Amino acid sequence: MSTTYAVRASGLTKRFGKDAGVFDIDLEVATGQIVGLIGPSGSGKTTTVRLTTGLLTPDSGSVEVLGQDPHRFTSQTRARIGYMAQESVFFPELTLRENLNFAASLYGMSYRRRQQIEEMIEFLDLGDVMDRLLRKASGGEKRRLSLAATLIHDPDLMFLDEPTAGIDPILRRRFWDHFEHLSDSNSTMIVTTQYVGEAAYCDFVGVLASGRIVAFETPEGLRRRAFGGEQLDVVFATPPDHEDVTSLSGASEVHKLRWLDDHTIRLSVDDAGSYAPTVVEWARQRDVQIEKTEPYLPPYDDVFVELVATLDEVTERESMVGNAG
Amino acid sequence: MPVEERYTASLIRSLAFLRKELVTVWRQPRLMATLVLGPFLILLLFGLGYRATPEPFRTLIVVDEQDVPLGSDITDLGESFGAGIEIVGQTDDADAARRRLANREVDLVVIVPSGVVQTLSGGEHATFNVLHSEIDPVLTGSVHLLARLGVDDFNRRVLIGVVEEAQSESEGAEEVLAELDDTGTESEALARAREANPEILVSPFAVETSPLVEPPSTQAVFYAPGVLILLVQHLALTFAALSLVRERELGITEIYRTSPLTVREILIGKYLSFLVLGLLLAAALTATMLLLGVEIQGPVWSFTVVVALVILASLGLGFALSGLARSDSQAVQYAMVVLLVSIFFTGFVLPLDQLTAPVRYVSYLVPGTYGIGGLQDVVFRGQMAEPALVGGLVLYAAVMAALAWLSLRRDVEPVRA
Repeated sequence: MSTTYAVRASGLTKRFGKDAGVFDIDLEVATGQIVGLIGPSGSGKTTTVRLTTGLLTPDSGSVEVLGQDPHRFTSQTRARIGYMAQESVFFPELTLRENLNFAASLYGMSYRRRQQIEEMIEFLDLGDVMDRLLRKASGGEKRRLSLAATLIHDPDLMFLDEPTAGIDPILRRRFWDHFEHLSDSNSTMIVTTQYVGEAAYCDFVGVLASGRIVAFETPEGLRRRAFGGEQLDVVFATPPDHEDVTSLSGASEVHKLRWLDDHTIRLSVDDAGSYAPTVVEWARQRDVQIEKTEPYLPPYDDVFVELVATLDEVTERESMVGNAG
Repeated sequence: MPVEERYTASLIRSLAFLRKELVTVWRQPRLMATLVLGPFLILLLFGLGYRATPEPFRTLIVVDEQDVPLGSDITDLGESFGAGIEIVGQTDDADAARRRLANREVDLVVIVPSGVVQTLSGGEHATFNVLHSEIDPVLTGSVHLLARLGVDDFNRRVLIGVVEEAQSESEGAEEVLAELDDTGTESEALARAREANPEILVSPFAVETSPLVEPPSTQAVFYAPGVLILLVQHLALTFAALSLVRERELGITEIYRTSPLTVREILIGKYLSFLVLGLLLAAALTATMLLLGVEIQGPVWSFTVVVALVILASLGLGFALSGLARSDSQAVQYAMVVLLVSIFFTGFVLPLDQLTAPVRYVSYLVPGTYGIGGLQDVVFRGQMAEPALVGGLVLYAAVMAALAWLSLRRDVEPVRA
């Protein structure tokens, strides 16, 4: 069965001044996927979202959303899209319930509105504050209202710009559970976040830095890419001979070896599961006692730091080559 | 989506604005007070405090008591000038009178001419000299008019005195003439002249003005329709401009742009909301007007049509101006500029005829000009509003709606196909 894409962008570029903006963004989001855009502040996440929703016009490149150019969306297509802006943008003089009612009306919802609203209130734990004026609501309550307003009409495709910013960890977890549930129902989501750990919930993750996508992988693929493969921790029963152990790095399967302390090394290998018996055999031959071997899953913060550091190195190298030329 | 569902959804989207705008305004009582009650109270205070009849000029008469002209005394002079002056004293020292005028102790000094008989015998006018220290052109004009009318009346009184004297001196002359004239014609003519009313002889023609319709009883009544129109215009324009500017500032227009909402639906919703608000305000102001004794002599439906059209035209102007304003405060500033223009150029204070042709065109750039003229027709003349004014309002409202559509389209549908 051929893949249908909710979003396809190619060579998307939008410049703000000389260096700011996004450059040559290629993006393919299949229907039903959750794609996370992760990057530091100013890396181009919001600009990418705004380009794909039609809020910005690209300087070059092309984008197709639900089979249409965003600048030529029909009302019917817009009714299939939900957009959550980075800032809370509703009316401070209305209560949260009135704001949500207004948002539902924008999508022409009438009879089923009440039930949908009650469901959203329950899901987002807003029951106690729905009759509070928005100007008196906390930042987290405003974010939750924005999310409710985005989801209220059951869109097929959602652009969520930092939906979990300012939300407590328990509720964040609940958000992601709900996103996964929506994804199971074939809804597509593009989610930006500064919480790198949230990459784990996505089907694909685009890492942005300085306006470019430096990696676009599955979460697992991202780890492999950052560290050159999977990570395998080897804990020795007694401190081994350093020279002896360092010889491991000569093996073709080992891409990197790092000492964590005098008992422990971390190996970057293609497949941690299949390489563990090889290490055990290597130790047996040298009469070195191993306490345990275990695959290590580096947190996405580390993955992200590693990727950005690699990018910085490449950029610096390119710049030096350019200057030398 | 079936057509009827599409229309229902479109209606729901527009009506969402009706509820939202009404609730938003209701929840901002201070804004209402500032924008509506403020100007209303200022105009009410002005209306209550304004005196249609100015204070009489405090006048000092300078006269040589040994040389009162033609036997008239100072009482005659006071009556000639009428209620416009209040004689506060009489002196024969002209220099002292000038000093009191310079010190603002009096407003006018009237120097009565001396040696009148000799002057007249010499074939020259005996001239009253009226000194004043006014700088306001309107008051200066009043002094000139008062002086001219006063001296005209004084001349008439002098002539009446002369005629009466001649009539009394001619007693017995008929018999002498009858002896000389067999036909008796001349003696009869003399008798008629002697019996004639000297006032009629001196002023044979009089004038009376008869208004076709009953003019407003007071200045307050005359200004009432103008106040209503200006307040309604100001409210509609300000709320329309603020509404769009605030939405832009909040960033909600981004949500509009990604939703199925169209510019047409937004405008219909907003026009509807503020038309309801404007009509409520107009109803309250009309009730106040009626309580103050203003009577709507023409058809009420014509009154309502004019008010509704002024609201629609002002809303369009407000929406269009919102495209130029970058913040709340700029929108309010634009609204105040329009209010200022309206006070001077709509015929509210000065009749439009007193504006020269090129400047008068400015008047037609604000809806109030059409509205004030239209309401004056209905309220005071007992007619329908002049069709040209109603047509002008319709055209104005249509042009402004088109500009509003263009301005809002730039915000909401900047690149839509």
